[in-house]
Amino acid sequence: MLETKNFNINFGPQHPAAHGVLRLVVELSGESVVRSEPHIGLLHRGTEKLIEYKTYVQGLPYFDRLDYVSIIAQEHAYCLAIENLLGLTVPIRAKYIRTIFLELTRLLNHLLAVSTHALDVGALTPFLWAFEEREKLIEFYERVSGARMHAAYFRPGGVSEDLPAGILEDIHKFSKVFSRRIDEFEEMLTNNRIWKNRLIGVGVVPISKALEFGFSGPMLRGSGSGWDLRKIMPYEVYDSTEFSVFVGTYGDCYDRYLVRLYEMRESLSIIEQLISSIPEGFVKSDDKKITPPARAFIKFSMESLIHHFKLYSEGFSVPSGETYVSVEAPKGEFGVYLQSNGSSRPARCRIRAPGFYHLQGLDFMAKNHMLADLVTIIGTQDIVFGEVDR
Amino acid sequence: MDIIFQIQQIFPKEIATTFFYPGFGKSRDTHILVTKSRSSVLLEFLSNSYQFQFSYFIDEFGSDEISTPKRFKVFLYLRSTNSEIFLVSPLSLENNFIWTAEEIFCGANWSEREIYDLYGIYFYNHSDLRRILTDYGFEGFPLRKDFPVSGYLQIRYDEVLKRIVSEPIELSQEYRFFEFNNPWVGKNA
Repeated sequence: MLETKNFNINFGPQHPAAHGVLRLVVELSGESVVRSEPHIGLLHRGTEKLIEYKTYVQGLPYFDRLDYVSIIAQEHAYCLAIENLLGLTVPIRAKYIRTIFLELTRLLNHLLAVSTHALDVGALTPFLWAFEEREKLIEFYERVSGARMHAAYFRPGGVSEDLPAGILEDIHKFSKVFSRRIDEFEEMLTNNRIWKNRLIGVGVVPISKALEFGFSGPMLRGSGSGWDLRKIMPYEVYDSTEFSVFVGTYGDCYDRYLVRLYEMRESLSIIEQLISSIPEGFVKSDDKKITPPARAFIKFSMESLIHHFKLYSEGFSVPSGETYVSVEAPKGEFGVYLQSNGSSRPARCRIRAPGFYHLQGLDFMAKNHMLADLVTIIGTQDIVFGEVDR
Repeated sequence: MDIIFQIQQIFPKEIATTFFYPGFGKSRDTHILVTKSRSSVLLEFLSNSYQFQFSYFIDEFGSDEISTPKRFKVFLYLRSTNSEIFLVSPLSLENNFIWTAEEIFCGANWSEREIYDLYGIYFYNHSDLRRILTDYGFEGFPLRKDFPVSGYLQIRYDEVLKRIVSEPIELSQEYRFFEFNNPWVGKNA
């Protein structure tokens, strides 16, 4: 009697299509995937533990390093959590600035998501275009914060600095040109026969399964749920902007690609609306015990000098309590649970990374697909290991 | 409002106390249930019953307050279309077992592996309770408060053995834990 045995292979940890350090143990029957088991944790840095040993503001840069392509969205969740515990209100101009940069971040992330997805499937050109655009977006980051990627721009109580002169005009110019770039992506991909053949019907996620697995963001909307936290629990100034939420019908990779693409267009529209209506005013809360003073004040005001010293040595204390804040990060729902014991350090900081839950669904999404489709599915999940492993 | 009292009446053995935070404006109602034991019947009821329909699994995570007798807490965060629910299950160091939520919410599989990995809390009936985030062969539970932030072991590549070896950690400088006492606490300065 002839026996057949399935083939077990290791995919990664070093593989260009694994989007980082993903080790997949794949059981193959011929070329179709029977079982795929992700081994994660190769990039585990113990962020949650480290934050417990830092002051609140020192903990902030760790969030940049979680998902290093949607940087500011994560700082934002952390800042909101701290502001919740402190009962701090943010000035309206800071809210506008935050929302503009959150949407720029969404562009930044979706550009990478769509273009590397295309790269995985075999289209190199969109990747080159997208990275040129990303460079421009990263320049906006650099102009406001001084850092290209790990911006640490949002702070508890507002943003670290006001916008430099002329940046809003440049963002406006960028967004005018950028909508043409999205058209080019669409020309290249949306009706491309190879792209459609590789994506349509691959990695179908039924809506019930998506909810059970804790999917969020485009992964959930691709399956037909209109769940968008910007609409359902509006934060910052999203409730005064107009935008649509796009949903897919079949829940396959192609739907998620379209959702991402249309989200970029909506982001552009949000940015345009906000640029035309941004008010003047403060960019930080005026609670001097929480937000640091401007550099110039330190030179002549003793109080400012003391505040500066105290804030950067021991930080501010946060009244004891706990809070859970979720925001619609580009990849999905990014949640921060923050527990304070009244000191200047968080007692517990839980980070809910959307990618963690998406990657968990890889097994059922890839079942009975070809090995090459596994790569498509990893691409559509938009995995970044910084946040999966934390 | 009465939704939460109903749950307590239906499951007197499972639920210790309930809290309700009404949502106003565009925020949503939040229910907090502190459980005595978290059975899968309770979870199934919350997920599938007509009134509640908390079927959207969001998160499951642990926390550690070392000074209290029931130091560990396991939080389960579920969502329905109009409200949020947190199930809080306090656990002690000796009695660190809880029934898994994986049977009802598949997404809890990895979260529970993570809680097991970082806190050493065990889940009954979990299909695959292995470590997930830490290294293969790691010992200890790093998110417990009595685990030092620098850990116990360090790894390096051994030229002679031609493999990675782990050895007790040697810090060239003591870990500096800046413990300030805060003069601002309790003062409305």
